[in-house]
Amino acid sequence: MITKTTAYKIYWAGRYLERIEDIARASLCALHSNTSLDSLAKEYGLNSKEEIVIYIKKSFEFLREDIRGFADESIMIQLNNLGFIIDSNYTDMESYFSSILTSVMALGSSLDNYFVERKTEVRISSQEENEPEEMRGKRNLT
Amino acid sequence: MKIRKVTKDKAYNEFLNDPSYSLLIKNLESYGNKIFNLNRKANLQAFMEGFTFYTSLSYRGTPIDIIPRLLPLHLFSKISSYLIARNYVLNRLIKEVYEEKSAPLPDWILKTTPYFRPEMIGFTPPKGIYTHVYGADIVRVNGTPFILEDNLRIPSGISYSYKAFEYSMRFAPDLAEGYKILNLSGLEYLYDILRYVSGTKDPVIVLLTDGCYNSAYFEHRFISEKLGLILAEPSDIIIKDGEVVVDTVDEGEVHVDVIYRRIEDLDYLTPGLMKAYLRGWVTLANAPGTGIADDKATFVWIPYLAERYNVKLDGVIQPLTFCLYEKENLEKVLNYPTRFVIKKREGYGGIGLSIIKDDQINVLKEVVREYENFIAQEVLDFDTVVSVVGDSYYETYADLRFFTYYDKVATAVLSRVGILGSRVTNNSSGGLVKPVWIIE
Amino acid sequence: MDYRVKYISIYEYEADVILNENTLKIVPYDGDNQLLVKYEVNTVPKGYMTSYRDIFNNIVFKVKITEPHRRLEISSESVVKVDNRVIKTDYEFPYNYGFNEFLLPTKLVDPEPFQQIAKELVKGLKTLGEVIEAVVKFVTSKISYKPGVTNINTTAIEAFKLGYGVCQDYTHVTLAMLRALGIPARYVMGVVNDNPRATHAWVEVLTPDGTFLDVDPTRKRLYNLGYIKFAIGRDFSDTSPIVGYFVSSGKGGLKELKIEVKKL
Repeated sequence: MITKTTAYKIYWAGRYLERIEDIARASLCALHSNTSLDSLAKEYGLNSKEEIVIYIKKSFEFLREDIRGFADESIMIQLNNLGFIIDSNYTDMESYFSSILTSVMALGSSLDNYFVERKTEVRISSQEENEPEEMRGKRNLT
Repeated sequence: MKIRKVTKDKAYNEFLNDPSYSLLIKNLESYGNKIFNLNRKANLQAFMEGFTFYTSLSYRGTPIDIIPRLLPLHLFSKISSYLIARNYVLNRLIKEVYEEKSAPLPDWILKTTPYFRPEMIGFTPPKGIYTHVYGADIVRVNGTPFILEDNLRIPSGISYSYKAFEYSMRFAPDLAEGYKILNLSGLEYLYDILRYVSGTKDPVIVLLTDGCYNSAYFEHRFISEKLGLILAEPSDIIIKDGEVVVDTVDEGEVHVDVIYRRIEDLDYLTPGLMKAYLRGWVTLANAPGTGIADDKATFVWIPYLAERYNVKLDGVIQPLTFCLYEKENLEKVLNYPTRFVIKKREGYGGIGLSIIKDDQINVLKEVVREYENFIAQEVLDFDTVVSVVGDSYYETYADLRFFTYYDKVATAVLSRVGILGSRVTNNSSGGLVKPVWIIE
Repeated sequence: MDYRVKYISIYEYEADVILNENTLKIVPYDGDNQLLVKYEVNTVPKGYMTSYRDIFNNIVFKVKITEPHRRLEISSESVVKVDNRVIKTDYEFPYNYGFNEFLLPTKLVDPEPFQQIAKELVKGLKTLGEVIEAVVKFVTSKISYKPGVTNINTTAIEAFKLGYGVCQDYTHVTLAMLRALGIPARYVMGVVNDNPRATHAWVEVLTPDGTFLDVDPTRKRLYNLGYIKFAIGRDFSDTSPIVGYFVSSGKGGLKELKIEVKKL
């Protein structure tokens, strides 16, 4: 039973996680293609590369509050890891955005495992009734 | 073991004087300096795992002190019996005021609290129970338990009790060497009482929260998860004709039997819910309007009420407390302010609490202008314990919060440590949580 | 003298009000020189109502309305017997009353800033009556009657500095002066007995006998005023006839107030 407000949180957690991934990728792309981060920022309606970082931090806060609504402890650990990386020093922007991407992937993976139960493979095997008693007893030991 | 003191008060240090701690001290000494790092790691791990307490200021981890507090089983049993009896008195008082429409204490005290609900007059809640969950704040003075305050509106903290216990065991399991510790219980009592008042065998129970910014949101999730309750916010609750339902995306509108509410303001957040409750369409726990019994002025009257209802309250002492609307009392406090602890009637926990002994006389200015809203209590030099703070052991003040689920008391007890040098022991002031071990 | 008192106030709102909670003190005081013979309080819509006596023995009603409405009518009808007092004013001044709650500073009245002026004013005066007259004369000379300058939160010292006010302010400043002189006095809210258009405020001064002398600084009238008091307290905040709040998406407020006093 998923209440509407919980469903809302799951939906928005996905969107915020996607936003963080997206802007990290776009920033890396800009860095690799010699486009200035400031002009990338303008595409997002922001003024400078510092504002890109602020945008990521704000998105993370919303992400965190949404995830708190349904996550378990292992997801929280991945989430907080992402939080620490986002709060880390961003002088080396290449490194900064790459780390964010890696962490986003790890969190995404963790969420994936949470929602989808990995079942062990089961097979259908045939079985027969007409066996002597002693044979049945012996079979159980193997 | 070097223990730092922050105040010059001469209090009875439970840790150093109670013989049951000698084994714990030995175990701590075996850890040596490693204990400080373990405490730090436990706190970091707790934060990472989402064990947080949101204040209006920030999202922060709930600070943990991994050194347990010991409570002998016989004392727990004594306190338990006392609290069950006291809860009966509180429940009975609420019944007398709303159902019997009689006021056993000055009725302005009951009716001037913001928690009095005139719509409850003449209504009988399911099974006659108002106080499903009752949190009692107790301190020890030279080992003897004293009750400081009753909490009936939304007493919180049982999850902190479980978590503090868990983190302490995970990071410093050797502290328990040689001790026989009672298993934690309590959540199942909560479930039992909620099921009992639903009148059905397998009720649909909702835990009503106001969302992630509530300081106790961690607990809302913890409880709903452990007991299989549906965690819902006000917008998920729909009042229909004859029933209350919770709006889900996968199962449509699901009928609700009981709502364990963790919000007080029902009129504004869930309009219509009170009407549904009064019509018997849904059960609410705790019942609305229960706050008249945990008002600090009402506290003064509990011993009198116990006699009135023929209930024996012993095993725990109620400190001398009096209301300041009485002239002689007001005069006494104004003349000798440092002899008393002054508390304001409204407010949760530490807010409105003032310990004149350590505080400025400014509080008296407020007291004088609305003396009907203040009570005074004798100053209790309650026992101290020892806590890990940073890289040292400190002598600290701590209380004990017990959770009573109508007629059963949880063995999951919470001990809250005040910030260094302070006697104010509640989470919103930045204190620590300590695990409590009930030992045989 | 027996009076029938009718009080009705009507509130109107531009949008549905989903919650309206109010505390009412709209029934004549039962005690001292008044005997409340019968009383009734009603609201439309009905809502949940309860009543109690507060620390000053005022009869207080609390009403909570949760059904949506755009108009609220609060009314009371009572019959009260108001007796005249025996007036004696030649008590000696100063007099030590001991510890008295009506000498303490209150939310709106702090006697401290008035200490100096008050002591100057009563130099050489020997009786309570002389002091009361001097204070009333002083207050009315310093404050001119003008509505709209002060509001329900204006303190005594603020009104005094402004030099303008309404009955509430005259009463507050008089209380401040008297209390600064060690004379316990209380705030009274009620209605005058000749065609009241609104509620009025005046002072009751405690005598060493334990009785009260009624004084109206706004109209400069003293003793056995014959007014009908509804509530007494330390200052206006203890005696507000209607105070509360409403929850709505729009605005609203008092539309009409009608008070009727009839001699029986």
